[in-house]
Amino acid sequence: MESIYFILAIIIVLALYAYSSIQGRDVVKGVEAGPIDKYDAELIRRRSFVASPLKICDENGNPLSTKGMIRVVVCGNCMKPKGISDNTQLLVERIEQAALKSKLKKDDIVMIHLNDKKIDKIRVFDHFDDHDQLITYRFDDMGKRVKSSHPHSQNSVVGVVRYKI
Amino acid sequence: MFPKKVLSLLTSSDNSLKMKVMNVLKALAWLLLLVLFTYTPIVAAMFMNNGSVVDSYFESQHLAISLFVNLGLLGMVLIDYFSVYPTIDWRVALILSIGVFATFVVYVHCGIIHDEKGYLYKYIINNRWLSPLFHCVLLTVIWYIKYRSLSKPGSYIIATRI
Repeated sequence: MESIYFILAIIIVLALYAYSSIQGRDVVKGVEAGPIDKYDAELIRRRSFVASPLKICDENGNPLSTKGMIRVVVCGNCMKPKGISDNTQLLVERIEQAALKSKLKKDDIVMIHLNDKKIDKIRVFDHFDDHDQLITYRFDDMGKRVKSSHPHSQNSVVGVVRYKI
Repeated sequence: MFPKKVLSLLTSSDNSLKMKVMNVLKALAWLLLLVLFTYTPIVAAMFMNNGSVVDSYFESQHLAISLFVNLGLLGMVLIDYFSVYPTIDWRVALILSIGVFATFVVYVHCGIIHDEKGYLYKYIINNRWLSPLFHCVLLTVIWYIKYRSLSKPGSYIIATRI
């Protein structure tokens, strides 16, 4: 009888593990959307949270596949002219470095990882320079375009913002 | 573990179908746990060499406590349903009624077979598999209501394309 309970316990643990794997959790990461010289790493860290996955559909009501997408929350208002304000959640499509040039279009919003500051930020992509680096810009408080102080390497790009939720 | 076709549905880009398959599997996993926990005498008989699963089934399900447990399962799954939907629609009400009916059929039929040693069953109900069949109906009802609770269409969040 004990062995039956033991086998049952193992089955239940496995079933619970399978159920939790299906259910999953979303790590919603904070991303900087403001002047990088004024960024607050502590605020970005505090904005990040773990949440249950959302059932998301597009504007026509069709359920949306979020496979390969990252859910992030914005800290800052430098994308306000693009309709993205502070605390907005976004879905970012991960893009491999090899496919970056073919997938990235002018005025796409990109998520960039800053390795030295250990944060992520979002900027609007403008074009590739002669060294195949990304030239990006943000918006200031008046809504005017401000060019990023330096270009970004392709391997620092995490993905492209596709949806606002 | 799963057939290739099911796996391809799980990784399909058609998210609507994927969500449905996921909810079907989630409800099935939940039902499996429920059955394992609730019908322990039958589960135990399955693992014992000398225990007959069918006899153990009739023996356990003719008791009033089993009727209580089966109705309790329906009540539990209904609470799940009401935590998602504010009201009950006619389809779920009908299915729920079938579930309650199946519960009493299981109780009465198992009682006839177990207590009367087949006397009544021989003349009134000539099918030994009636109660297992209705028990499957009951479990299907429980699974369906759980599936409906998991797949509420109104809980989707609208994403705006950028």
